[in-house]
Amino acid sequence: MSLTNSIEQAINNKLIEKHGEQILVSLNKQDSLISSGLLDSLDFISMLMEIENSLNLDIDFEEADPVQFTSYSGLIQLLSESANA
Amino acid sequence: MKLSEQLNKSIVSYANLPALFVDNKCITYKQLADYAENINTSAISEAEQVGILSYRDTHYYSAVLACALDSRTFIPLGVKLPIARLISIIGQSNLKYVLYSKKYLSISQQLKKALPDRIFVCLDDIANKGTASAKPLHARSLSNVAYVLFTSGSTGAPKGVPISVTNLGSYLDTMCESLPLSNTDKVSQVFDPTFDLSMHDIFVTWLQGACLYVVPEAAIFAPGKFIKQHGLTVWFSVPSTASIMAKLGMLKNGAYPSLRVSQFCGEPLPRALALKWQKAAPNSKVINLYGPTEATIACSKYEFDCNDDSDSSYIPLGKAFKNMSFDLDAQGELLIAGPQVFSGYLNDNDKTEQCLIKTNNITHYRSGDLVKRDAQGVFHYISRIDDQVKIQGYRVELSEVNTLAQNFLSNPLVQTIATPIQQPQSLTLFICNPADIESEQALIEYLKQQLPIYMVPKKIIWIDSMPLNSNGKIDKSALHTMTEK
Repeated sequence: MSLTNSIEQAINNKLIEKHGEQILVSLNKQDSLISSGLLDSLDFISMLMEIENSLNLDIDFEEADPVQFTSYSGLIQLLSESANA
Repeated sequence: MKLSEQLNKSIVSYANLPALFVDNKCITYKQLADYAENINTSAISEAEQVGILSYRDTHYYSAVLACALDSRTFIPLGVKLPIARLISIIGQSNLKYVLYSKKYLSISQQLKKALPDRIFVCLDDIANKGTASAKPLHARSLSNVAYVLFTSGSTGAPKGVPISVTNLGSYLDTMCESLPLSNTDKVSQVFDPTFDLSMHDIFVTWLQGACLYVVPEAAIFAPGKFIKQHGLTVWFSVPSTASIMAKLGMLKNGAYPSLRVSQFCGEPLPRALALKWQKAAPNSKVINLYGPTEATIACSKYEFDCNDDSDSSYIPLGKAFKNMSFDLDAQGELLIAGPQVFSGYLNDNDKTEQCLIKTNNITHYRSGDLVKRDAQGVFHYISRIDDQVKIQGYRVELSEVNTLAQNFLSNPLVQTIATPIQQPQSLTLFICNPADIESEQALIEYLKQQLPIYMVPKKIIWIDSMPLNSNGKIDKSALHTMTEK
């Protein structure tokens, strides 16, 4: 499985854990997962930590914009880019 | 000078300067005032008080300005609150008029369905209408209440806290004098409209010709980039926001050179976090503010000094503002007096009598906070008086366990709760750190040495971050839910 797929899988798992399978159908991938109420800041941070640990990534968020990285597609993009940097 | 007069003065003096940055647009004092004028001459012109159903957009801030300029009470209606809670708020405050942004049309329709006799006015329609119509002739009495905020009440229904124009004016006079801003300052607006610290942001900024920078909703979670991008000069948030930024590596040394004032309020500020912030914002004062909503936004402050070698885990509450006074009762509960203290809850004399006590003809507000005063007269927070729990009949101060655990583990965020919530049997300690079995065992041994056995947590749960409520405070009910899993 490619890294991007693994990241996607990890985010899917977290969303399914909280909201069930159907959430992936109705998901708007550009919306902030936090503002839309799908994940609270706790869920989000713990998901980040899980992804970082399981995929052995060490992400620097210093210059990252949460408007982007809290959305489904934005997060995948940031994580894959950081991993490949 | 009255608040409305002071605001009018700002509008004239700073007319073409930016007053508000929101949704990637800058709005000048003149533009904002024109919109406010249109709101004041709209269908709400007769209303003594209005609800504002809007969030982080031009409409919200213009509606607040309109109310303040026309001595009209405003009640922020949280767009994320359940409908039932909004209905309760509108009912309790006897609101006839609600201003709403079109974005929240569906909420306003649901409210209208439940409350058909109320008048809902769309702010977008007023904004699109353009020039103001002539002022209506209807006379109405000016309201002495600036705003009403609803806090959670112990009985389940939200509790209304009216803050008078005098209360607010007194606060603003103190703040503008002690932390003066200039018309080049860029001030953060992070707090939710239903949290009174947002009133600080808005009015302290506008009275001094500075510009309010509204942090977009999705950026509130970790606003480091926003501070840098816009070169904010003044910061104000709960400590938890700083704590998340620290976790994401956003508090690197020297990260925010533009900041010159950083303020924290709403929950205890850990010393380690204050130090981290100070290093990230090397040109900034770091200030801890303290105060309950009932005493208007904040009533004491403490300026952090990184050379202070105090061993306390938290930054002190500081000293009372010069127009306010602090006293302690026999139990050590902080009593607050002065012109910022409100005159009672909305329609709730019982609660008002419980919290406002008169001694020597001075009205004191019972804060519910246990504090201590040190030799320098500086006040330090100990705990909530009502956070006290009983375990098998023994009195337990949860904050004592927190402090010991925190000191032992070199200052992670921790929170102890008593479970089950109804009839507590034992304590569960949440530690915000990666799980570490070895230090867990060492901690238990240490706590056994420090505390009676019933105060030693039965369970330790390691978590990646503390759950926060909409005000950014630690969400204890979420912790309880986690123990039930």
